[in-house]
Amino acid sequence: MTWPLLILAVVIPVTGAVVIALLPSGDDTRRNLLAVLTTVITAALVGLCVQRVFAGNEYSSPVLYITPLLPLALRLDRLGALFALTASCLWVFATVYSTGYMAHEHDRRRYFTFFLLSLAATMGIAGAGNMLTLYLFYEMLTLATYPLVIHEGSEEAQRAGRRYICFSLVGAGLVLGGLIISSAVFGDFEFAGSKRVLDMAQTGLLSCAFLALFYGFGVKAAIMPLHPWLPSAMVAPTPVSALLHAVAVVKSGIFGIYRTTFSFYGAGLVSGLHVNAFMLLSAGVTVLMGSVFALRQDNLKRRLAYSTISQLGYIVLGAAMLNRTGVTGGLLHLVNHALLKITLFFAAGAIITVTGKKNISEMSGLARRMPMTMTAFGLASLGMVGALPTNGFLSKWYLIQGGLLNDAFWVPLLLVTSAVLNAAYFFPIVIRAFFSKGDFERSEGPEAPPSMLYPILILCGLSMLLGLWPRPTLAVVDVVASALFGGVR
Amino acid sequence: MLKNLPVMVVVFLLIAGYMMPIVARWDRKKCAPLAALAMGFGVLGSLVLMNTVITSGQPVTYNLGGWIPPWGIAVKIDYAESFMLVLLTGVGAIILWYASGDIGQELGHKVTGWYYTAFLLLLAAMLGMAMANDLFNLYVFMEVSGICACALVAAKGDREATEAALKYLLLATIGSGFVLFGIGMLYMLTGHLNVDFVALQLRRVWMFYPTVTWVATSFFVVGFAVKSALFPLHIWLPDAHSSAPSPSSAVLSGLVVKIYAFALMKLLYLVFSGLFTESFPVALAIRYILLVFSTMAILGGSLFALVQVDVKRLLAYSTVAQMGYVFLGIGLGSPAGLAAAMLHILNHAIMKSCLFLSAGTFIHVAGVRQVRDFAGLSKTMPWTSAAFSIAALSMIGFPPLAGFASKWYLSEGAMQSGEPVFVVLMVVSSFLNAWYYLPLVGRIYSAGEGGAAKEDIPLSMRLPVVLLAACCVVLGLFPKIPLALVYRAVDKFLLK
Repeated sequence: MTWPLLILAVVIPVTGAVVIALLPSGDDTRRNLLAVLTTVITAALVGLCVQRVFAGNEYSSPVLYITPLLPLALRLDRLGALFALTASCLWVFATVYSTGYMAHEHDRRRYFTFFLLSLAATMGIAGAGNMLTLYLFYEMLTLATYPLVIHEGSEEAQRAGRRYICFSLVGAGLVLGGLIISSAVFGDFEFAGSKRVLDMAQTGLLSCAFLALFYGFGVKAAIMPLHPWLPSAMVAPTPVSALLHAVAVVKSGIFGIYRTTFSFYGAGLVSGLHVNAFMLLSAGVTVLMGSVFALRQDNLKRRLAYSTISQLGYIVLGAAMLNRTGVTGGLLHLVNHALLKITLFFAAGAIITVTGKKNISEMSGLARRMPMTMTAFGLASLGMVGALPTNGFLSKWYLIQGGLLNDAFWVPLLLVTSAVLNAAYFFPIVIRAFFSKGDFERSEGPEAPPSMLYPILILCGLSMLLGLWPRPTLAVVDVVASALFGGVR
Repeated sequence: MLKNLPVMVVVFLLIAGYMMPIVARWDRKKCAPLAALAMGFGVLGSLVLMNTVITSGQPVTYNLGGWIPPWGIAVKIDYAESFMLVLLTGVGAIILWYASGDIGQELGHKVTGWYYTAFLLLLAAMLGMAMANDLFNLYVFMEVSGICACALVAAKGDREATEAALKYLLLATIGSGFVLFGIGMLYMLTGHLNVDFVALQLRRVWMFYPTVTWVATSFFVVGFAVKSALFPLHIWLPDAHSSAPSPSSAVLSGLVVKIYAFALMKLLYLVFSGLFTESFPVALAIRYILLVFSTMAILGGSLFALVQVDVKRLLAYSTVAQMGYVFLGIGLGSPAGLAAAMLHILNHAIMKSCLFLSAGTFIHVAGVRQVRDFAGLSKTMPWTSAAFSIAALSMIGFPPLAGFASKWYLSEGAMQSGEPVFVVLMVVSSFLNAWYYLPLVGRIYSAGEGGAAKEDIPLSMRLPVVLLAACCVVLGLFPKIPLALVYRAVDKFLLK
């Protein structure tokens, strides 16, 4: 009877959110404490579950049939465990960071309520035991994150929110359509990917359904040309951008794609459907065009957003290769990119809070004012580019290997081009901050509020550590990848 | 007592209805409790009947005056009928509760008594239609309900409402005419009016008169399609439903159009069983016409709703679209499709009543009718706004709300019939619904004046709405409760 732990991982954030909603809106101390505590408890719970999952146990709740056709179940397998652990740990940092960042913003109660509700939805996605449950929590994530996107309340935020909800609904609709068709063909929603056999008569229908699911989840994963909501959603407060649009929301889309491809359909069935040309093409275009668009942005958060789009392309590329090495690379990048990108966003947020500067052209000499933040930013950019000792290098290495296994010689070329482009849009920021003359002065006290600075430094240190000592992540990811391919080693 | 219960339910409502004007003359305040008493009896009776049907597994039958069919008029309550009875009385009671708070303000006290009369008679007629096992009896109740429905629209008495009521009356009469022709032809073919006997006899004789049989089928389809506003025949609905007082709109959109769709379903699958369900060319043609028209309804209704600025007209066009779902289920004819049609009759009744009633509160308490004036309503009436939003989200089909289950079952029904194209239709239709419902919800919750509430909302106008919204959530979480009954009904339809 270990599955109640898993349900608690969803229930605790919801409870936290409800309690926060009931607290008086002026009571910041208690609210902050409660929010951080909730995320810590959730992360601890998830950690406990994950440890057991990797020890070989599986968590599965009894199936709840809301109707005979619609079963709901929670089940944590290895892929889910990886996602749950990454998301819940980063949520702790993001909550701590939010308490600092939001200190001067309005409507903090609403913000933290929905912040925790989003955590609950994400945990639900990670722990979903079948596609229907996944879809359910996926919709809830859209609803829970919408108030965060429009938090500013300005006309621009409203517009971004509308765009976000429109794109999300189109995605959800595609997912729903694909889900109905494929579940009718398969007769279930189970993650029985390794057992599916291709029925020749159904090829056309299944191909359509698969592509609907792929592009449906691809909306949240910001596959081009379904990405425009992501850059415009950068009007949200920075912790939201960081967490939701670099980690939770977009990674839910990625997670959905991995689930569909490997757990629901199974790699064998997907390669039999001959649809992975679409996947490869979309991912490749996204990798390149994301970087090209990022070059032209002057707003730091928007540049990071386009960089996210491009990096998400890598992860999708890993899935599209349909071999174990590629998947290992993709999943490694899921973790590594989450760490790096959240560091970058947090740094950008700290810059906005301390100096009020949003544009890169105004950041000359910024390193004098915020040396540690900019050092972290610089190191994380190195990781993004994939320079050798950082964690970004390893995931790209595996992706290239995966591509070569499929005789796709354009993959290394693509990744090298993209690395050059990454360098071209990240390094100027760092160089400008460290070596250009500007009117920033060294500050007397701490360079940023401690609740913002420490998460940045810890996360940056963590990514560096995983770069220098990649064994643990690699071991975990390898186990996950082998599980996705039916446990064949 | 129990033996006579089916008739008692109807007769009690009829008597209470006729007493209303007298009671109103005596003491206006006594009307609502008395009507509530009658409705309460109706709800209780329906529940008892449903329980009897479920526990015994046998239909409850009652022969009027002790004359056994085929000589006498018979009443028969099976799974499907008991489902409809509970739905009609339950939702009807909630709407009546709301009306007790609203009608006095909206219509003035003079017509209150008469309004209750029309309301209770309409409910009685619909119950009669649901349980009638005799074609002519069905027709009589149909006419009663048609006239009462017109009275409910005309109750407002202004130019707009009168015009809409007249239009409704004319088209409803045309619809009834078609149905009457159909009944006449069946009587000519079989010599019976009792549904069971007609069905039995028809199977024997229809091949000698194929043309008449199919013409009768088509007449039924057209007649009931007019009455329940299937897309190209819907033109009376937006006027009637938007100009009527809010409780009338709720009962018309939520219940009245459904009972005709239900009657059509019963006729096609019980009387024409073995004809309509087989792959005869004409049966297939009728089925495809139903499918095509319901597709047009789903798309067209939503597209018309998109451009409306008046909230009640928007809701009325949305009803046109939602009736498309019901007809789609009927046309698909697969078990899940029929189940979805029945389930959607229930879900839509609840969602749309909730929407119309809360819109009624917005109109009459805050004085806003145009969608663009909705900004800030959530500040002045949080409960009503929340209920409206839940029902709207349910309309779009967000899981886990009621609308999601019916959409899912319709899609499943489409897959069972081997028509995956309707899955795409469902998805597209959800987008369209989202397109006009989400901005509405967004506007309610955005900052604005909110037409500062003139007075406090009486509890009798707030609670029914909240109750209906709660039903949306409960039915979304546990659709298996109605589905258990619905599937048994469908099994009977499909002769399993």
